[in-house]
Amino acid sequence: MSEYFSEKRNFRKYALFSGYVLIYILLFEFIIPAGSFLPKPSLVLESFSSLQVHYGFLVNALYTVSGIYLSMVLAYGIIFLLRVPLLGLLLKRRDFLDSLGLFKYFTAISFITLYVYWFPVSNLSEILFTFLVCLIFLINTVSLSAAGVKRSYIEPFIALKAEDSFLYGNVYWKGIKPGLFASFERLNLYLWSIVLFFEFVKGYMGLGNIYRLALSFKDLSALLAASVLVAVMIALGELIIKLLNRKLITWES
Amino acid sequence: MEDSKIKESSFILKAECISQTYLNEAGASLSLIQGTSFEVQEGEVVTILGAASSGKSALLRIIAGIEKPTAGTVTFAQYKDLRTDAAFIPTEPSSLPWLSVSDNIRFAVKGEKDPDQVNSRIKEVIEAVGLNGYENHIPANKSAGFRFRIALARALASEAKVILIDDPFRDLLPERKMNYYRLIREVSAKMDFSILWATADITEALLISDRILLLAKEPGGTPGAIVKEFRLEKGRMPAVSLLASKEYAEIRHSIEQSLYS
Repeated sequence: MSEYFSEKRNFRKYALFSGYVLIYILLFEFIIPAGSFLPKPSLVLESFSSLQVHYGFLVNALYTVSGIYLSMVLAYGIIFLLRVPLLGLLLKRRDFLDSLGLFKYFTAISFITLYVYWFPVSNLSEILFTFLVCLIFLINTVSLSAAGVKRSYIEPFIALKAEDSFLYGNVYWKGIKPGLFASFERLNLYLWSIVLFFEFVKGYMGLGNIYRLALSFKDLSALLAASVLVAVMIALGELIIKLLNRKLITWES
Repeated sequence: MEDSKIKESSFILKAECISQTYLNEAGASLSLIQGTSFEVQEGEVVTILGAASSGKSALLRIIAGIEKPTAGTVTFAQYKDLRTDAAFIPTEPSSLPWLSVSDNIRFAVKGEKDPDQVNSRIKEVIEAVGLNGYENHIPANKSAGFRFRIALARALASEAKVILIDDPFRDLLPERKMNYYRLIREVSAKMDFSILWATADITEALLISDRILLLAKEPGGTPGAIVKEFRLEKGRMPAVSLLASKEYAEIRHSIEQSLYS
């Protein structure tokens, strides 16, 4: 029954979204004269090909996409390898993490501008930046999820004098995995925003740099075309994460 | 098992002057348990009976080594074969939902390196709790009773001297509870362990126990102290008919007077 309602809700969601697109096409192609608010849909369609010709879309997309998803995999791998000492630190020294939590009041622009100021513009520096964002995000998720692991999973093993390596490496780790994997969907959105912003500020390569160039040329249709393609890539990333999540995590925390 | 004891002692578990104090959100010190002492003998089923928030669970967690008491000591009888002191079964389901029934139990099989012997031990405890045929099932979405059987099998696999059971059937229907009381009694008769059980249910305490320790406030006194002790016929099987006997009615009356007056 819940699947039926979920399917119905999905259908309505996509139907409504198609309605918004149709309204945009009708309004800006046939009714409202071309202006500076939104471009004509036919111009946006043409811009998909000009994005590649004038802005080198594919190379820049590959640069951004590989940076984002490689960083995600790398950050997860590091956390997996260091899960025992990391969980020990996060669970026994919560004050340490709480003190770092105060940095949340510094906005992304503070870190991005400082990073761009400190490190030379290069492919490596961008991957390192993306990796650090992933790592901090995932460590925070691990910390929050670890605090939420059911005590009833942990306590019988404490009574049986289980070693920390077993408790952290198996019980806690498996207990936080559903939360950790679910957080990849949020990380996907968050990372795309941060990385595009970073590339926009840095102005070297990547999809963020395409936005910067298109804005400097006041190329509105290219901006919209790039936004549509980026949205499709983010949605594809989310779909893959959801499929992996469904395949790998079969339990609730 | 008697032969493997290093030092002959009358008890299997001894709690002496256990006190537990907490700081509440306002920073004030709250005493939950104060100066509680008792012993559990070999093969005995002892129930700590008390109202909600009387400190039963805290006492069990202290004995399990999960919490440290503010004061007092817990001593277990020493064995040559390094048996686990205590296994703990919490109120909430404790079987890990990502592991099969067998793998949930596997960790608890201690000191055994030979895989065949480990598997044989797992098989033995699975049979003892009536989970034959479910070895490869995953406990997620299974009933509370099924998950209790896994937790019990894990405790048995650990060869613990005492199994600490914290109010596991709170949400179970009364008619289903009786099956589990019998199962626990049968298993404890077959295998060598004592049980320390915490509950707020007087009927449960009367059906399952050899001895009931009543945890309550003494009149005008401290919180979480053992105020009375009731001995029942040792080793009998739980049956509803027992509750109708004069002896049980008198004990129930006395418990109710202590708890609610």
